[in-house]
Amino acid sequence: MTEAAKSKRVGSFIFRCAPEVSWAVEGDGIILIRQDREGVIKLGYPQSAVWDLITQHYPFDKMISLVSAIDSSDDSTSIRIVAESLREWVNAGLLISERVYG
Amino acid sequence: MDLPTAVASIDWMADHLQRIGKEKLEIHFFGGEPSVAWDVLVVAVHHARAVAARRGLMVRLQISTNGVFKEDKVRFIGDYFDSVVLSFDGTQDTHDRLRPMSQHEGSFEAVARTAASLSKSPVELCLRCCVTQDSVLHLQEIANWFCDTFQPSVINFEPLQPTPATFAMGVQPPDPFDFAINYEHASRTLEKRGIRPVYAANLTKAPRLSFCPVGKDALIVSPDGQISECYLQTAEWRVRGLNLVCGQVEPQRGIRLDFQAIQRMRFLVTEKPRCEHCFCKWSCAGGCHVNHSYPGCSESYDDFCIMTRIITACSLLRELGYEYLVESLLNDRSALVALSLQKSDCIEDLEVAYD
Repeated sequence: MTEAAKSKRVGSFIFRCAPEVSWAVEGDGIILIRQDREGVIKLGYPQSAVWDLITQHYPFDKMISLVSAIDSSDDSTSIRIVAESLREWVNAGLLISERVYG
Repeated sequence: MDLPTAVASIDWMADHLQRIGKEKLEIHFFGGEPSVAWDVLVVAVHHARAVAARRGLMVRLQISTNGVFKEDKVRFIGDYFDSVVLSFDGTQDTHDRLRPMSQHEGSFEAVARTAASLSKSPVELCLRCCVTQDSVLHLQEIANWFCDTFQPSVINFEPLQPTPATFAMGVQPPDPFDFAINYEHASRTLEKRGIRPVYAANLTKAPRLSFCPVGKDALIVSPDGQISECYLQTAEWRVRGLNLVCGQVEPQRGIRLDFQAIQRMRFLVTEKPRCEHCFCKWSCAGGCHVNHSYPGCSESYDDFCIMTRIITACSLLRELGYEYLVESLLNDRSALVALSLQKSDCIEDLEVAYD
């Protein structure tokens, strides 16, 4: 398949934690530690739940329904929370996204 | 259990705790096997943590589990739970016989893997060992093996509760004298190694009305939203003429609680003729309200009473500084029989022989 054809196919993304990132559960959230940089990133709720669900490899739709229950919010709010979190973490190099086809 | 029921239960409890000025939200997951409903477990854990963080409550999470699940689930439990009660009955032969999986495979290897992983996590690990007639003479070996192989904080020995299934499997509950003697020896071994031994009906620091959640204002939410104080199946206590229901979760409307029922359950131990003249009345509190000291049960001491009376007497002797008498007692079968079967411990009923 050519690159042009590939780009027209509908695919989905999988997200995984960047290899240089580790995390620890704290009383009221999660802290993310980048081994290649100084400092830690603290995630409160509901973002720390999103992080956990990603690391448990939940599919997106399932993640939305679980975040809605965890956060007592409607699905559209949960979609926004999850989408913003993913975008932010990918941009920060905390998550790696890969497009998969099939 | 559906997600709205789990969420509504946690919301109500957090709100209630805050209203009455408490600081700790404690949730214990059990079943059956709670990890079977994995999504509910994950949501409940995160919702409880989120609610607690918002309200300034501390959250303490505990789970009772058979430990048969994959590594990623073990990691979640190790990360998020404060305490894990893991059913683990000793060495491979014993454990596999008592806890077979489908296809007649044993569950020992899976549980040992879970125990090893949890030993590396910060969780408080309690190994709960169900003791049978086959294993009772090996409690000290089992205790040592647990300590050598894993890093438990607590080891809990409880006698097998016979059921039709255990009869069918050909496993017998332990002789009560053997259980008491071997529990005592295993306990000393554990204490020397810095691990807390537990027998649920043993002496406690303060008097108590119940040795289980019944009567302690615990709210146990079943998958159908029923709230009771007992984690056994409803049919098991109904057949004993007990009603341990104290409310219902109605996700759209909240929680309905029957405070009169809760008040009644707080004093179940006062309605137990078998316990009336027993010195363990306010420590073992009659044991299981459903399977041991249910309404209309025999007033004679049974095997549970025998083991509990001996173990409690040993604990009392130690508390009083008479450690040396414990070993003498455990080595004197006639003294054990006399102690365990004495009909009344009330001072006015005692017959003391003076030399």
